[in-house]
Amino acid sequence: MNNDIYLSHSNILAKRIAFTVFKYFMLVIVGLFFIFPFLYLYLSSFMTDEQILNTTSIFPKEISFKAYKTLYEHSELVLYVRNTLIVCVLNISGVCLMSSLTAFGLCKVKFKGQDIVFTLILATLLLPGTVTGVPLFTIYAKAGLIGTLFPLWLPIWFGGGATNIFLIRQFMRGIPKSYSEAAIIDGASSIRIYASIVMPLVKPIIIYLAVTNFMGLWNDFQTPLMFVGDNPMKYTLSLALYQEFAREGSTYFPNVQMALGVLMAIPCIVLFAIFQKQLMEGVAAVGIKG
Amino acid sequence: MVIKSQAPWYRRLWKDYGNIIYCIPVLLGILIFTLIPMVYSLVYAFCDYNFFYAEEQFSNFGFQQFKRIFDTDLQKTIHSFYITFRYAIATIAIGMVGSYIVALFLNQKTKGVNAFRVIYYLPCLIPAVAGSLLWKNITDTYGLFNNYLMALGLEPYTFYTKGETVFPTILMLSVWGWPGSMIMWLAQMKNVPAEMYESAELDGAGYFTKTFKITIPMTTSMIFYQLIMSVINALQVFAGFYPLMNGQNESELDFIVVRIYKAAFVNYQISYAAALSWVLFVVIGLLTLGIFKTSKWVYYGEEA
Repeated sequence: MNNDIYLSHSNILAKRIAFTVFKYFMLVIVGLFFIFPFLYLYLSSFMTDEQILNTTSIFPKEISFKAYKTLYEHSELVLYVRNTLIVCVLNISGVCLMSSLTAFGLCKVKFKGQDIVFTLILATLLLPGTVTGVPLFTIYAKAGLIGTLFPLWLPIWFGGGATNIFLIRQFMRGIPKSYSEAAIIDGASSIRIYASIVMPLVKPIIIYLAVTNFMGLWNDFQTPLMFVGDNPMKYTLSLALYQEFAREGSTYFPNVQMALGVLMAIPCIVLFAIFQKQLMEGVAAVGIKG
Repeated sequence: MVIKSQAPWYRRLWKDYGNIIYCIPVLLGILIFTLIPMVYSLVYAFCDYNFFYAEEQFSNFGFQQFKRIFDTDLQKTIHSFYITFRYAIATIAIGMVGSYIVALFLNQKTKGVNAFRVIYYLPCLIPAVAGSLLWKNITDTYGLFNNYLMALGLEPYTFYTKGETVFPTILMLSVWGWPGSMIMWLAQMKNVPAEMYESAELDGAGYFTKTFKITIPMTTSMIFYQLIMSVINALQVFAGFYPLMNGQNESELDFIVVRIYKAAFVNYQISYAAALSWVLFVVIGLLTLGIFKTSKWVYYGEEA
């Protein structure tokens, strides 16, 4: 009897261990599969020109820094970084300021027709960007803005983007009315309430949006391609990677493209590492804490 | 004594509408960057707009652009819609199911599973252009994949370099995009109350019962959101494949938005591009409406 219990016990234990080992084995195998393109990006940036064109292995035969040297010696690279940073900074500050103001106007104060405004904002979310892309090009062209960075950041200062407004509004609605009512009794104006009561409380969602917006903007290709086009002085990194380093007729080897890809990915990886929990668990994890 | 005073009209106006001031920027934005462009686009679509001759910008009002799309260029139009829809249906169906399965796989309490989530997600941090150049290099005639195939004694595959193999290649490589939706599923799965699983376990429910009776029904709102966004995005596919285009695969990557882009920005046929974008808009609109109409299966939680 005793023996039986002992046997089944060890059986269960063995099974559990086997299952755990199997689970980790699967996690590693699937993980290797998914991380493969990332490894290739990184490793191939150290390959020699000869190897990258005909490689039989994911590992570089000899470590070559030539691709990075080529980038370092490229005179315009700093300019591309600067352009991308200008676009990102102007956009992110626009997102933080304008979308929170708009969301505040939509849920913390009252005016007639509020619902109509909100519906209108949501409706723009469903509109495919393609319809407005072509006429915006002609409008920007008439205003002389094609080939400049203006089209890449100007629109965000008008409202801050529908998705951002929507998410901040959802978050703001969670702030108890009593907070602002006390301030109203004290005679605070609505802009005071926005600046000194609501803004500090919505900081977590603002940070979340700043990070996610940055990641999208830093890598955006389609908007710069449409509105900056082929003015090399205003290339952003993504656009430069295509126009300067990859387009048919370019004399650069793929290892240089990969090296630029590695460098471009760094800011996003750093941000991802810092805000991993929020980004992984989504807006829900951005709890309301003052 | 009560003094009954009517506030002056401007006070009342300010009280009723004053706070709209917070929404003035967004309203201006919708006007400048959405409504006016839409009107422009509609006007362009119904005329011959020549971008280079300022004095004869608008001429020949009529349906000629749509006639071109559905008559002269009918073959091209059908082809573009065909490859775009084939791409959308295949990648959305496979991608949603696949990424959901990976999310289920990672939605466990094993120690260290968080590190694996990060590893799985890393490729999604590669910039889109770098990503497509990366796959171009890997799938080149003498790229890594073909060298592996040849090492195994197999025939080399043409991937992006030949028309027929472009679509299978796109499908195959779309697998590496799954972790992007995976993290959204995971976020939603975390919100399912643990008590639900606990009481199901007490009733003797196994893993599959719990998945099909709890996890999937409780994440339908995210499934719905992802479905809508994937349809809208997949039908406008552009950035991931535009850098890959060359003489051999051009027609197989001629998605609608690629054609709109080329018409407007390469050939400066603004009117044709505008008309084509309206056709796409109507198609996307009808599809979204259809999905919304059939969304009875979505569960939004108790209070909604």
